[in-house]
Amino acid sequence: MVEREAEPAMTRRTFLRRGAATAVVFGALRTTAAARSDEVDGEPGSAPQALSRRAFKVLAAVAAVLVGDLDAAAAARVARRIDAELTCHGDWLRRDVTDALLLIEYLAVVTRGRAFSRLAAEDRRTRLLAMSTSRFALSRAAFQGIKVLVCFFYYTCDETWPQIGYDGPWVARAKPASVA
Amino acid sequence: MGIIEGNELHGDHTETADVVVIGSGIGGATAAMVLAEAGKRVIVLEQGGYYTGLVDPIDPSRPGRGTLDQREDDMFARIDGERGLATSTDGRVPLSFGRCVGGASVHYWADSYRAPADRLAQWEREHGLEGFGSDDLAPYFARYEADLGVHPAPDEYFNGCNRVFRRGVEALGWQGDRVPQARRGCVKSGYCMQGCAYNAKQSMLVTYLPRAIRAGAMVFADCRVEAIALAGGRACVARAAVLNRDTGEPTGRVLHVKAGAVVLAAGGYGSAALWVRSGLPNTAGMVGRNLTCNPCAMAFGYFAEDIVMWRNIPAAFGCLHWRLRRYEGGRYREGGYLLMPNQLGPATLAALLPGAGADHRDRMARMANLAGTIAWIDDADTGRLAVGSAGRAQYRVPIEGANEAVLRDAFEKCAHVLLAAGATEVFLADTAGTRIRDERDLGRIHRISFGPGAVSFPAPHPGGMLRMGPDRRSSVVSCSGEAHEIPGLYVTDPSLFPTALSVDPSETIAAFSMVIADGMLARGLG
Repeated sequence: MVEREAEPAMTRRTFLRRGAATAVVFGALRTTAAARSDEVDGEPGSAPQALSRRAFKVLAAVAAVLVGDLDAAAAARVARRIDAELTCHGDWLRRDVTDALLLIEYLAVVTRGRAFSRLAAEDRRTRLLAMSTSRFALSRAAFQGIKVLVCFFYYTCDETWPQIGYDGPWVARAKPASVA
Repeated sequence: MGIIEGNELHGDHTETADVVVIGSGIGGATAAMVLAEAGKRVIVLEQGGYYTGLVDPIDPSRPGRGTLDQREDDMFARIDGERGLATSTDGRVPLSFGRCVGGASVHYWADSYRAPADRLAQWEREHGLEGFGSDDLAPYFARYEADLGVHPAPDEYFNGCNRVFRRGVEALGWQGDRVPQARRGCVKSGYCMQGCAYNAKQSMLVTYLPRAIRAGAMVFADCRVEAIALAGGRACVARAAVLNRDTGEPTGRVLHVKAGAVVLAAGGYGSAALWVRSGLPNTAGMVGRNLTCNPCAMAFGYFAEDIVMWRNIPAAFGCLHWRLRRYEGGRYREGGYLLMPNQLGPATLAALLPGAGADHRDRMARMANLAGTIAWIDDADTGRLAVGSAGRAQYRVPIEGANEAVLRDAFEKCAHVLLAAGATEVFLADTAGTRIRDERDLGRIHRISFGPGAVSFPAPHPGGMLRMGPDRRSSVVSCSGEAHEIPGLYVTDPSLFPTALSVDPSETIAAFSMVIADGMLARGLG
């Protein structure tokens, strides 16, 4: 039985304030963490446009498990599309996404002793599921926000459609929206 | 001429007109058409871009651009406000609104209801509206229905989702009817929300805007109005930044339109925000209050039969049985929403389905057997707008209190229909994916979390933040549609509705816009 939680409404300001406090805590954790590469598996050297390399790496790690065991290259492609989308929005959305990704990354240090992007795939999945139903609104909101982006951009790729029985659009693709 | 796009404006530009209309959705396009066909020089300013399907909507003898290409990623980016990623202040309510030539009508479902007589009577009785009763609006509704070919959905429009929805509603003994549809020559592709590539859905893009243009109106796309300016206390200038469509950023070029009257129709979310950014008078403090937006509850169910929810039209059959809230002993009991079958493209569906990893992938792999239900609640509590120092609008939509009670009941009814229709598995669109195995499980819905990140409540029908009424202490515009404090400024979008409407608002927006535009003409534009 899922119990109903009594919790105050969280405003965007509250979200950001809590997110900032969380970032400070996890920033300290980050400085003590073992040195590690920010290279993204499957796409070495390619610089994200909107996200930091660190946030991008977490995003790819989330994508790899969120829609079901993607290989590193496929996960990086999803992350790349989200990164490109963020370039079309104001700084506020990029900041929110970055805060959510860093929360996912460093909350795992507290609960699992390692940053999210360094966990094994099954541990990552367990970690995300725990965040999805957490009693803490910030955890749930971070999970849900990133999940919406990952799932949406994964399933807008033509290559994913055969596996779900979707026969696709009836008209030809126009130029990408960003230049149409 | 007709539609001028941002990349065709090479420097600062000034136009003069009898009327400048801000926004090209149903409220703006309808007013533009009425005024232009009466011989007035009309200029329409639209922040979004101009996108067309296979046939040019202005000159059907020519091919279209093919930029309504049915891809969810492309089309959210092209026709939806903030590329489909806008949310309320706490992120729980995704805000759905149009941003393209034709406005939200380009992504709407074509459901076309007349405003219920009880709601119009309530507006007259409790908010003092005059001239907007059922009898007053009947000829305007009839005109809209004739113009857009509104007709009850025939059997051929029923996809699997509509069939099981109807089966469930009828099994429960609830009132249901074919949904009136504004379509001509529908090919049943299922891409209504992505903008119809076939000009079959009778959006403003293919109906009233072409008529306005043929009557001499000019539509400027990619022009974001930054301010409405007054002269001698009268609204007479709209100043717009010309946008780069590639980036959405201002090009530095400016379009000024000087006009005898200004029609504000930037949408239920946008008009009040523009009012505030313009620094227009708000003595009673009513601007930006009273936001209603029909937040939704959703449930899903798997069936043994093929459903294929992504083809054919979204809602051929609707349930109005629970449209009005019901009370017992003065306490809310149930109802207060419009219950419909749902239609989502695969990517949007994936974003809403619960689970992660293999579980989520399995749900998606069974998508062809998945049906959905959706309930737009008739807001019991209202929200409000806040505009930050940088001009960014934020919207607080209350989910607590009365709205929460209605949403919980809406979730229950969404799930109940699917159970009654014979679904093998029913679950909610909450993050936990709450399973509803049988009717005994329906009570679980009253215990799930509605906190941030637990459930999304998409809100597609904003209104109310520039409400209409005769009393300037409790309303923003008069019953002529003209602002109490600003002569020459008219509002013709759902911002002026005193409360939520309890049905899809498109036809009512058009009818109000026609009445107000006719009044402007009768008074020599005020």
